[in-house]
Amino acid sequence: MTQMFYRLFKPTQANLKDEVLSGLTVALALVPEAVAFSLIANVSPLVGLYTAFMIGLITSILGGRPGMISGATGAIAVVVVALVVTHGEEYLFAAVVLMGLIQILVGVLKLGKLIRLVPHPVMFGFVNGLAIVIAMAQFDQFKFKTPDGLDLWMTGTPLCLMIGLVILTMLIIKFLPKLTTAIPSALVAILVISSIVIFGGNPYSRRLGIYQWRFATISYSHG
Amino acid sequence: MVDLNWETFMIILPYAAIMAGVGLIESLLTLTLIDEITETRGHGNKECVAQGIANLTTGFFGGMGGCAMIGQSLINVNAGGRNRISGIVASVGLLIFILFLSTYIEMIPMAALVGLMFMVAIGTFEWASLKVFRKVPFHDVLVMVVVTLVTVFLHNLALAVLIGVIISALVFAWQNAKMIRTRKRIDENGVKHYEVFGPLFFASALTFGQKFDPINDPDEIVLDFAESRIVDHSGIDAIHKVTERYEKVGKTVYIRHLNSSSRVLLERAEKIINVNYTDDDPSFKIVTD
Repeated sequence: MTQMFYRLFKPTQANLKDEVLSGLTVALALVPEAVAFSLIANVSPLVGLYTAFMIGLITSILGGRPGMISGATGAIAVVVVALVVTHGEEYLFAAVVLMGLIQILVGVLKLGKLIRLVPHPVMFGFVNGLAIVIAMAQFDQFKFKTPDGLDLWMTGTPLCLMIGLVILTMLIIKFLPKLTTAIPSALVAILVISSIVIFGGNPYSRRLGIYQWRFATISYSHG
Repeated sequence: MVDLNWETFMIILPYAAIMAGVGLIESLLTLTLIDEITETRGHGNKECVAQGIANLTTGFFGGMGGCAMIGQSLINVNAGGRNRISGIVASVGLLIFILFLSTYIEMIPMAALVGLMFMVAIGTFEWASLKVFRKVPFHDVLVMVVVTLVTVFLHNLALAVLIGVIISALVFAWQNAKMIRTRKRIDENGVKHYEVFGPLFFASALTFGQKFDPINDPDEIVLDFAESRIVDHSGIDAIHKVTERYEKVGKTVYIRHLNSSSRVLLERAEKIINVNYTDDDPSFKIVTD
């Protein structure tokens, strides 16, 4: 056991380089996803980012599967959005604590193998439904709020620009890995689109910033 | 903090249960996937505890909860990350980005995030599942579609999985119900033997009962369970009913060749049922599994 422990934490020299580089790649790829999942859950992007950091660190140290990466995920975000919208963020944090307790209980009672009883068609339906929910949540971004508080679909030039940028992002993520896998393609896509918007001065483009998240003032006391 | 009272608890409990279930399903699936890729074996229950501790901690710090990420884990494993170091570097690296780059994160255009999430959705969708539509049994396709629809319209992934598992289990039971058969023969002493094949349980109990003919059968019949077993209460009850039907017309039913687990079931229910045993052949041995 101690020997295993030693091996896990003291990889050989060549492995160590791979480990660190691989870890940094994942860190870069985590940023945009954590932000995007926060938006699905209707919480500040910083909540998703710090969640990804803490869950990633703790499961890396204590987890049963070295090499597996955990963080804020779409599956969880899809579930919590209703709670956040109807009751508020504070209830979400309490629910997450309870969720943790339930999971510890499942592990301690060794019920993990029950999960493997889930048949294949159910798994397929589950991930397909999840994918559809994540995709549908994106269409909200094609709407804008009028001063009267109405949600209207974008039209004309703003819509075309939005669609164009979305498609460009998707093309970069899809085809960049065929050229190089040194940098995460999602990160390149985000940087390219950001440069286009910032330096091209697209007057219609919406940034994450306009959501007025309490970036500096995120408080852990939630009083 | 929210007030910790019963009302709060009842509000958060369903969400917490669903989140815990979904988180563990995704985490253990990812674990199995990485096991297959790396040809090594992870520890499921240890991972459950770790996920729980991680969520407990983030909850106290105001986090949104999470689980294993299939996409990121694949990136890591394919880039050579096999040990704990890679995960630790990834999360600490992320913390550094947050601390020093959060002003830039604010400037990310929504269009880029929408594009990214469409790609995540396309990557998450199991396209192979569409190809198998005509190749797998109809009920498998039905289960898949129902689970998808419940997920999409109720946004309740845990309920969707539960419904899917229940439908699958019922279909399985129904198919096994059709597997019960009996072979009849009358031996030299005029005793009729019913050799039963297939499991006797709630789904097959009705079919089982329909196979007997108390009026026209001889005075003694033997139920041979060498190729069958009694699984549940409905199975016990089915035997009890058959015995009673024969008793009403003054005939006797004997049971032989029960395997040990079925025998235990019947013995426990001795007080509420009425069955007769007959000696097993000396040559008959119960196969223990």
